Amino acid sequence: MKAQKKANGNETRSDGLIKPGHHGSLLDYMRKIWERREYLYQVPKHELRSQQMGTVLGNVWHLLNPILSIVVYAVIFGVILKVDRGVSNFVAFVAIGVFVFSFSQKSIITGSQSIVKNRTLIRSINFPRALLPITSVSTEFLAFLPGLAVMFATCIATGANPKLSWVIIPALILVQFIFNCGATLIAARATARYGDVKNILPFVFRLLFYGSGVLFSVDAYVTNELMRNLFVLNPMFNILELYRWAILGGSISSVELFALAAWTICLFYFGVFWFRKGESSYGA
Amino acid sequence: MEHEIAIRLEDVFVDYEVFADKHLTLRRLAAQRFKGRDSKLVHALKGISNTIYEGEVLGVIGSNGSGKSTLLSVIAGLLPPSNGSVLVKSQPALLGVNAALKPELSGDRNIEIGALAMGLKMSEINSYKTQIQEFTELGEALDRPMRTYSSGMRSRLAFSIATIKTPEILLIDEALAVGDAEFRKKSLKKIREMQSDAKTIIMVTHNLSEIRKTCTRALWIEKGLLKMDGEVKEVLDLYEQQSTS
Repeated sequence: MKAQKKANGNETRSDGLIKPGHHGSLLDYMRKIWERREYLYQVPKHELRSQQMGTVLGNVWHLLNPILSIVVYAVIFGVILKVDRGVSNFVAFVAIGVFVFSFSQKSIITGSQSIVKNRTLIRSINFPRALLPITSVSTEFLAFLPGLAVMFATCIATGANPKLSWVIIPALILVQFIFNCGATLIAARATARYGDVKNILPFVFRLLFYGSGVLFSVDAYVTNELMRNLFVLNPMFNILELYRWAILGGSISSVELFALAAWTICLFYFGVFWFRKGESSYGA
Repeated sequence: MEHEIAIRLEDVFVDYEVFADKHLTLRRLAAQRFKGRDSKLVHALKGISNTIYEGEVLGVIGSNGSGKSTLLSVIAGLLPPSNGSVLVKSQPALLGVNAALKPELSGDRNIEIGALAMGLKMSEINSYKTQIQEFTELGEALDRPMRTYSSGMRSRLAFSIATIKTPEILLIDEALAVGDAEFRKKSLKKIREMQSDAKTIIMVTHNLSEIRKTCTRALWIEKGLLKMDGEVKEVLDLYEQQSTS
């Protein structure tokens, strides 16, 4: 009986029949997502547009929002507080921190809802479900682009000169995108099963926000070497360090690079693997 | 039979777990753990076996809650069987009643999103678009958010999305019942076309005359069990007799 069950689990059978809703091996699964790559651009496009429906300025808000946040940070940290300990270009430093961090934060938090919010779509059409969390990441990626432009404009305006290391920024964005996908896939399956995750995630990110040095330089505040090494375990800290190094210059250790690479590879692989295990349960 | 097997159901069971209080997750977990009294298994399908061949148009009847819709979901692979096996020749397309994919977006966008999710390219969608728009006959309503649609309008759109790719196996869940007479005529015509191309169709409906007109075989499901399987006339006559008595 058990042997027969196993035979039914295989996708190719002698009689040419397949299991409905089954997308084959991990590689087939990834290929089917790739075939649907247009979805990853078309749906976010409408999503972003509908976010600003009912506003007079419409899509201009996607550019205006990051500009306004930079103005607020510049006023608070550059004029009022002056907490630029250990950082020469504090406004640029904060701009990178805030925009890069929120790309991951928004991807993972909205993506965690992607299964729950798309139940009707899931119940009507068969497609690899990982498309939905990945679409959330690509939506936030599109929303990140104006922020990126504002971020660079701020850096240049505050005196950061364009340098050769800027060319690695696209690679860095790609790594962050893949990292976000991995984390979002895990968050989406967890949320589909346990709605509680929705309440926990904001706290996780608040903790990460302070633990990644979004608004302060970890090197300037943390002098204990053991403590400093603990920060390297935090992938968001490493992402920020790399962006800041690439844009503003300074030093970077290979440990941070290695830690981020390890996090990204492991998280993405585990994310796809684990998410796919729950594939048939998402319509229920 | 010269036709090949399109769908094979072997002893298919579908259980739903329902909880006395859906919100108490801790209690739910505990209930799962100790097989407590709070969780209850509902058997939607209790061992259905059947073989459906290519070119068949199968009508499924039964009272409300008998498991008809669950049967379609499980054949479409949208719901996993808790026991037994479901095998198909190719991925079926399900056409349900509440098929607004994204209610806040327009009908046009819903066509796009549905087709993209099915794996079509944007260029293909654009070339089909006028054809789809004409079939739905929704005109300017296609620009309106789908939440403003009537059930009949929704099913027009859903029918168009589900048949874009002309699936080998089409599952129709009550979707034609909400359309008006003209649309029904049109969809039945399309169904006949598909049938002559040896496509397989399963339709669930309470409209018995539709089954009499279109189906080649009928299944009668009652309380998750297959009560009768046979000639359309035979099954429907008995069904009508029983529901009137």
